[in-house]
Amino acid sequence: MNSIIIYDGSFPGLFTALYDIYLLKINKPIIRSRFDQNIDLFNQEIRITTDTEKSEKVLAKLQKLIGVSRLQKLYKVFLSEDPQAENLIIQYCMIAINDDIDKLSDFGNLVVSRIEKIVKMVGREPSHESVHPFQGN
Amino acid sequence: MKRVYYSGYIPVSDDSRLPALDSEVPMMRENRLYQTDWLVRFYGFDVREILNDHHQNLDMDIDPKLSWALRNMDQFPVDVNLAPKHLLQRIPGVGMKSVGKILASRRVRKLNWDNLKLIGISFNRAKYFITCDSRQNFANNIDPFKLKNILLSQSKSKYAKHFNQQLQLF
Repeated sequence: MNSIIIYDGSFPGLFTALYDIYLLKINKPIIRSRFDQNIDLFNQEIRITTDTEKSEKVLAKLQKLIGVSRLQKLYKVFLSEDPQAENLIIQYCMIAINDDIDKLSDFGNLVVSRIEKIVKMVGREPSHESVHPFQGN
Repeated sequence: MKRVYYSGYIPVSDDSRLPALDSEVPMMRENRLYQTDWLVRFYGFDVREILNDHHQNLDMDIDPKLSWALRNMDQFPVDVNLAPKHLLQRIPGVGMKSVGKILASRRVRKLNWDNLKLIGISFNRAKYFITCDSRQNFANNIDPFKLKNILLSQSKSKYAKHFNQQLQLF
């Protein structure tokens, strides 16, 4: 059984979810926004309450771990409206936290190459040029 | 001088010594010149490798990189997991971005065909010139002429209508 994490659709909400994934030791999380209407009867649902304290902790840690430029990439992915965006961001962060930061430059990895592709897609839209994860929302 | 711009001859005058006014602009030639320019500027090729006494003109039907590769099949296959950068740059279907990605990725893992596809190489062309961490092998000493025909039948160039150098009646 997988756990479905439902968050409020905001950027801090997503990182609160990441915090709680580690707090609750969830192995294979599936992230959904609360606006996603699909109801899944066979999986356990966990609702996340957005907590800026938690999300700032996670962001500070991630900034130290993967650096600002990659964090900006993640924010671009978050803005991309790709249906898989949230899951990709969480999986990307989990690779950095669990495995090795070097793995983030492995373009043969499905998650990493997908993230790069979405960043490129968003980059083509000029209005997103100067996004910054800490000024956004 | 940082770079050069090329333009095919555009007919402007009805002087009989010049090509006729309705003659088509040689787009293909322009394209091939740019491709060659890029090979020299970014891919570490020497002009003499692309054009020399044995091979005096650029091919119309295949790009200069593929053309060089077919004339130098002894350099291939290249093992993407071991080869130095300057050899990766010479694989047809692998551009500079892919070379960078291959170099970054292979420090973390042994690359196989699936990884290479994700990296974004032009798989259908490059596979004949590469070996990687996989049992499946496409590069088994294919005759260059046969290989050229295989590649031409697979691909469809947007310039295909310019390939025919013969004048057409209709």
